[in-house]
Amino acid sequence: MITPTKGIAPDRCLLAVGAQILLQLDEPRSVSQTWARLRTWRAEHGHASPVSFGWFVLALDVLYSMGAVELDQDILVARSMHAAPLER
Amino acid sequence: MLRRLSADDERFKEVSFVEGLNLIVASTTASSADTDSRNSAGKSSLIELIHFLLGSRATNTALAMNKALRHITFNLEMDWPGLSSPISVRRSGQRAGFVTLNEDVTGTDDGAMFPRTGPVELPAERWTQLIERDLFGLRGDHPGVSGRVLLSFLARRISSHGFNEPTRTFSRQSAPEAASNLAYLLGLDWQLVDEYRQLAARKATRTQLKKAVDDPVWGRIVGSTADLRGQITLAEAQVERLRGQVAAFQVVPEYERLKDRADQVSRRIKQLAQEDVIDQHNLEELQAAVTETTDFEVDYLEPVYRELGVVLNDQVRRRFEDVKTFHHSVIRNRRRFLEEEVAELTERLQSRRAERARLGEDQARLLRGLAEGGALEALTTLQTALGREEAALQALRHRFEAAQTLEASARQITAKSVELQQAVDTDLQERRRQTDEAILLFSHYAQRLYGEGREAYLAIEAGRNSLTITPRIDSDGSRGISNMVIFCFDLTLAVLAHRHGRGPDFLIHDSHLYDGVDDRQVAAALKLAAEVTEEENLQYIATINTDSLGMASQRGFDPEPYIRSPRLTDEHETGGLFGFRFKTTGKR
Repeated sequence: MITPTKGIAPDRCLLAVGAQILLQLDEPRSVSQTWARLRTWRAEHGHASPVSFGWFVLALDVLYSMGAVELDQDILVARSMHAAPLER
Repeated sequence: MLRRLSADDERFKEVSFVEGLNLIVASTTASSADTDSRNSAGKSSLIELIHFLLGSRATNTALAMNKALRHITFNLEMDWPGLSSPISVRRSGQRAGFVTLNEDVTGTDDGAMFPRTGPVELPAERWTQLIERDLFGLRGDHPGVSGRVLLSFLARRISSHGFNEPTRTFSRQSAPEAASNLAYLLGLDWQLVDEYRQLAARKATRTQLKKAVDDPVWGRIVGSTADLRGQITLAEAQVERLRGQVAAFQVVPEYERLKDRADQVSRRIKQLAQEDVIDQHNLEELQAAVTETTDFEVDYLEPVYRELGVVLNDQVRRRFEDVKTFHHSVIRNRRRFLEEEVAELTERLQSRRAERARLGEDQARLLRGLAEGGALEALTTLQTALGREEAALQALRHRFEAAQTLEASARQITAKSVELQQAVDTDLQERRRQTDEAILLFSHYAQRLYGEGREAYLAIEAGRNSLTITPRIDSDGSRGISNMVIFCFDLTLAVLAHRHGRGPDFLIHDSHLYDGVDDRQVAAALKLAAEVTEEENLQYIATINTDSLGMASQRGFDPEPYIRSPRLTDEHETGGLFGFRFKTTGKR
């Protein structure tokens, strides 16, 4: 799921979707806005495989787990991936 | 009485008159032909001047308007009723529109005269009115009878062919017009007689109209009754239709504004519909989105997290609990957002539905208003059109009446003239005293001229088209008998008018009257004139040629006591009335 598998197209795997989400987060955005922009972006770039909202949230979860996004007062904010690793 | 005729030109020979018979004698030489285009002795000029001073119209051909005479002011002294001393009237060709009286006799119309000292200038028309009032006793309105015409019977003018017929004073005078004036002088019911004149005028108008109607071009102006009837029917229908429209018309105040408002409303309604379509679409999408964010995705979370540990172990920085919390808050956030959106959309749709309903009512109301009435301008336009049509209808009706009158008037006029003839006839019967007086006088004068045996009468009858007055003396071949008819007739008129206060006390005859008259009759006429004027307290002025007079004196009439200065002659430059020769215009 995270990486492409036999059942999951490369443009649908969570990492790819996550990367695409990060592209949309050049500015802090609301969840709906991010979702809307992602769909637009995918349509424009010819990614035909369906991405549901649930899948989008999973991709967000992956980004969050990696510390790439945070939810700040209901607004999604992208974090630099090179930030210092968080305390375990 | 006329007293003196003078002028402010010293060459002019002053003429004076007294009561009774006045003879102004002129010797004309054989050399001066009638065709001479220059004035001769001035016999006729004398009478022309008297007329000019008594207010005759100053036409271009009038003697006093002659270039040679324009600058001269002529002066006539005459007695005036109610005044002890003569008044004088002055008039010149240069200021022919006015006369100057040496004292004001305008007075009040009640006859009370308080002569003011000092001359007064009056318009010639006013002077004529005064003559009518004081010399002829005409009061108030008197259509058909005018002082000028009355005067032309008492001083016939050769310049207007006054000696052609006894009952006419100028060649184109219509019989009814002359009759009205003669009726006045004779003391008949001149107002009744004047109806002949009015009838004649109507007849003339009708004849003209009839001609016009028969003319193919002019005929269209009036038209035939049949054509007009059809046109009137059409026009009436049109007027009725417009009248109905105007009556039913309701003015909607500010119609234009209402119309704009209605346009706005319908535009807004269209816009609302479009917005609704969009929102409805969004709503469906949102509702679909709401349903798709179901919790089944949550089941994936754990495997995904576990996989993360496998794939990107060193990259995972959050505990599963945190991720789960994040996951839920995103979903919650999304759901809340979506629900807000949905709620907002639903509300928008609902408020729009309400607005649409309201606008729908508005529109219905506006359209109803617009349909029921119109703008004020539209009403004005309608009313103007109605006014125009009504005027056209009125004009048609007038034309119809005219056409009808035209068709009926011939009969009407005939009927009226029969009626009038009857009325005048009855009136003459009842005025036997007046008519008898005139008839007796006339025949008495005629017999004085021609002897007892001669049949002479004055017939006064109600004719079909006019009162006919026919003075007649049976001819025995005497020369100039028709002139003597005029003499007797004029004398009769003058005597009767003066006796009954309907005329002045003078009668003037041009020497033409005696031209070609048998010398016996000239003598008799002058003798008669002398007697009658003395009896009746009148003045008779005649210009006469020396040869006529010479023959009369051989017949036992002594003219000497009656000859007044000056004696006129055409023998030399200065012998005439004016004392110099000048070119005359027109025939004299």
